[in-house]
Amino acid sequence: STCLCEAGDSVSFEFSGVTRQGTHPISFGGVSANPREVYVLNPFSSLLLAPWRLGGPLRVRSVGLLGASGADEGEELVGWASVVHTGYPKSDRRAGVVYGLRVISRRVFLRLAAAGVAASALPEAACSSTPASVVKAPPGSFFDDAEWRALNVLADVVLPPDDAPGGAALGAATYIDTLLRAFDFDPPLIHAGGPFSGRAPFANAIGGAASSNFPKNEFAKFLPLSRVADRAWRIRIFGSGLNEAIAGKVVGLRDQVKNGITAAMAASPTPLETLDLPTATALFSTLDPTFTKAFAELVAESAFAAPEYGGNGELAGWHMVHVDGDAQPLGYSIYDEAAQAYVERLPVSTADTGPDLDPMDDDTHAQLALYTHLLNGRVSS
Amino acid sequence: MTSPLSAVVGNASLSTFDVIVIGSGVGGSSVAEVLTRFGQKVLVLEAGPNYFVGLDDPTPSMPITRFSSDELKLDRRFFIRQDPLAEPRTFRPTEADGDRTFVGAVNAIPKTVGGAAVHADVKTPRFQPTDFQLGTLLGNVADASFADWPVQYDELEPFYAHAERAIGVQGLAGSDPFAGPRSGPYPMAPGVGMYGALVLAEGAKKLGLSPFPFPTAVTSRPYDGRPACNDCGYCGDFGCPINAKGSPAVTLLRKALLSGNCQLRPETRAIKLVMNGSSVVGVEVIAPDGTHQTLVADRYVLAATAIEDVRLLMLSDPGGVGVGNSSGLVGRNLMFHYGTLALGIFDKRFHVLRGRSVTHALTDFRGVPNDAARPLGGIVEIGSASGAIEEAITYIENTAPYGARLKALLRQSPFRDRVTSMLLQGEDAPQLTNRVDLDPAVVDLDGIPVARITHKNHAFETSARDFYTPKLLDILSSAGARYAFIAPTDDIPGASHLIGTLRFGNNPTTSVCDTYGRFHDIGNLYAADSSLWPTSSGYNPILTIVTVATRVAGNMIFPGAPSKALP
Repeated sequence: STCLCEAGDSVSFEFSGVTRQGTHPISFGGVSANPREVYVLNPFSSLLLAPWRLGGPLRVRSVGLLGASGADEGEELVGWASVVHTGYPKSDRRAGVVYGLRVISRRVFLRLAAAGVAASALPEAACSSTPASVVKAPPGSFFDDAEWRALNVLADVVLPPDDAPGGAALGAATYIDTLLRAFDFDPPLIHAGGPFSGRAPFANAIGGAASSNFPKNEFAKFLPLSRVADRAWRIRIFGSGLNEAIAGKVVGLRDQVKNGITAAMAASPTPLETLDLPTATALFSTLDPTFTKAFAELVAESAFAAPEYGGNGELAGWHMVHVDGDAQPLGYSIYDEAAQAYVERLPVSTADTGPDLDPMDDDTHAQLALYTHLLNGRVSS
Repeated sequence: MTSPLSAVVGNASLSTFDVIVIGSGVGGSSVAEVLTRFGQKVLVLEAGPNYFVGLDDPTPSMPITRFSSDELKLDRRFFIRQDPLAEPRTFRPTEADGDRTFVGAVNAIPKTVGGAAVHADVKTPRFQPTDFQLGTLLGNVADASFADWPVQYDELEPFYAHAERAIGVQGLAGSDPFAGPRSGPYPMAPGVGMYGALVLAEGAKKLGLSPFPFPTAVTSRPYDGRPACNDCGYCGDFGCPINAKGSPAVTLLRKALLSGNCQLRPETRAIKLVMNGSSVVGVEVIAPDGTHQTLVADRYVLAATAIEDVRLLMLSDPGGVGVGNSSGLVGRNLMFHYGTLALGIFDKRFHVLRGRSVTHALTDFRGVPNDAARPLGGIVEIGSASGAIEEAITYIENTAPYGARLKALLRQSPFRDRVTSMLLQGEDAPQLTNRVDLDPAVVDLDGIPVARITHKNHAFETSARDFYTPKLLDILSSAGARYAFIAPTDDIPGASHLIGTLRFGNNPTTSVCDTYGRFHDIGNLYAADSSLWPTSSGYNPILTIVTVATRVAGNMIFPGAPSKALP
């Protein structure tokens, strides 16, 4: 799978839509025949549901049956479609964005809407296709262009793109580069500030609902390190070096990542970015497991850390796993002083009301059953 | 320029001190609050950085914290947790295993202004009255060293009540059928329960058990200048961004700092007690700029945890047995709580990142001394929360190191959004062989020998785990868990509850400190954290640390009548 494109390009977006039933490289009538009657459920947020007219320059690149991931299989939840919108002008930041969309029937949409799921416009960009940024390393990068491209390929091996972005599109390369270059900056880019990011507003003083007053983004103001933490992080990133007598031998993250990328490039007969995902994955599996584990952890951090660290662009990592991210200072419950009682803004003490967008599939059940068996636990049907 | 993380806080003009307190956590903050209230000039030393801006500013909106709902910072980048690269510890199960079997993160709890309680979701149950009498009640237990506490529940009750008010505890009096008597209600009513906890609590009720809202030092209404908790979801393991948690920093230590009688020096590592005969005459520290200084007061209080207190005593007597160790007991009887984690994975989701991580408890499995049908276990924490990074690391390390399966698991989230759990905080038997000393070779980045942990569990706690395991699984099944199992234990101790090592008692040959925390051997040295406790109980330690430390400080002001210090 590749997500390489320049902004505004109408790229070829091959999608490996693996569901419980396997890959379904089919088209279905709902999208191509009569798109104006198709509604889409944004898979990146349980709150955003939009009757989105599929027409004009939107080009569907791949589609598939929903099967295991559908709240209602079969007739109501029709399938998914990965599409690329090519109609925006090059100056528009949304150009070239690849969306992963759930396609549902009008009936399901109305039912969900009636159940209280907020309907609103789709976010501007749910899934960046990482245009250009995967091709060329940014100025000042720790990596050269070839290494940068390799880094993106391996990030997609760790988290392959599907109807949600992969490791590359989630910003793994930028995240890793930011960490490895943390000490190029003062203060070093290790600990984001606090207490608030500005993504959630203050609560209204009366009634407690969300206000239009947002705090400043203090996350973006990185904090100085303590004397001890500064030394520890330099060792973690650069290696033990002259501190080896005290700290023991520590291979720094810079060397771990660079050596791993170099080994991957050396093992590939052609540039890594020319490999398809299965081939790149097979290659990854032959690398030093110390590197692959450390690298996988970095990709995971990039996907789910606050975006101030360089990854999780457009919060797509959080959306993908149905995490809201930091909710302060609004939070989820409001203490109503007049009533001397709590009001839950979203369910805290009760069950979710929306659909389960990613129910457990057969493979997950099989893994859990095995795990439970190995631990002498209990499985209920 | 001085870093805001290490700048002196409080009355910076103070230059002579009555008392130096080593450690700004629960015990140290409790002592500082009492002593400064009675006019003592107190210097508090904290090895870690300060993330509270304006902790000494009386403006009601202060302090502003640098804590945040930032999983990377708190859980992966050692924002407050002791960094094993900077300060490792070593571990071995027994002396027969050689100098060490592991170097790295061992019982690595936060090292920051406010101490380990900053990261906790601040569960604050009281101990039961019988918890203070296990030496008498259990009699001789082979290879264990159970002992009565030199103070009993009745005497401590007013201190408990004070502690609950001071840090602001929510709870429901009468809801725990196994609790000791109370002199009054909790300061606040219970807040919002988490869905996952409530589902398990219902499962427990169906089996005739008695779950109840966990007493917790988190505001459930505006309290003492702090706002009500808004259930942001990043609670356990996170500092509170809005100071809804009753962290000792924003409650007890702040009061001390606002008194004008207290000075706090962050990033100041105590590395040696300077001795003159049987008195402490100074404490050598590494200042934030790396220079060594010696600070002086009349009296000194250790409150740096059961592990670091002992490390300091050992470092202060190079080649010897450790300061204050005529009993030979310094560092011995190290206890944790023996955690049994029961996990239930459900088909449904629990939106685990909304709420306070753990909101309910049951004490049916605490047990009764000498009742074979109800062995001594501990309180059961009900509910759980974990972040997306933590979940990803779980899969990477265990089930799906990378690829489509990893991504599928992350989206389906069986180990985060569909899991809810119970943690039995089992009583850990005291054993002389479980101990803290200095590693003979491994040093930290300042070149100082690190603490070595020697610890192996006793059949007392492992048999209790075996006894209660099926009962925990019964609750999960009753609540509707699709998959129910007990998490495997880790050989390397990771517990946050650090207890014992400076046991207090009346007999100098069988204890290190007296009933008021003063070292038998050293007239001007005290301990004021959970290092004093002869037994671990089966309950979370924070409230009892405040309680005992307040009594220690009260006795420093009113010898023989510490309750006079209660406000």
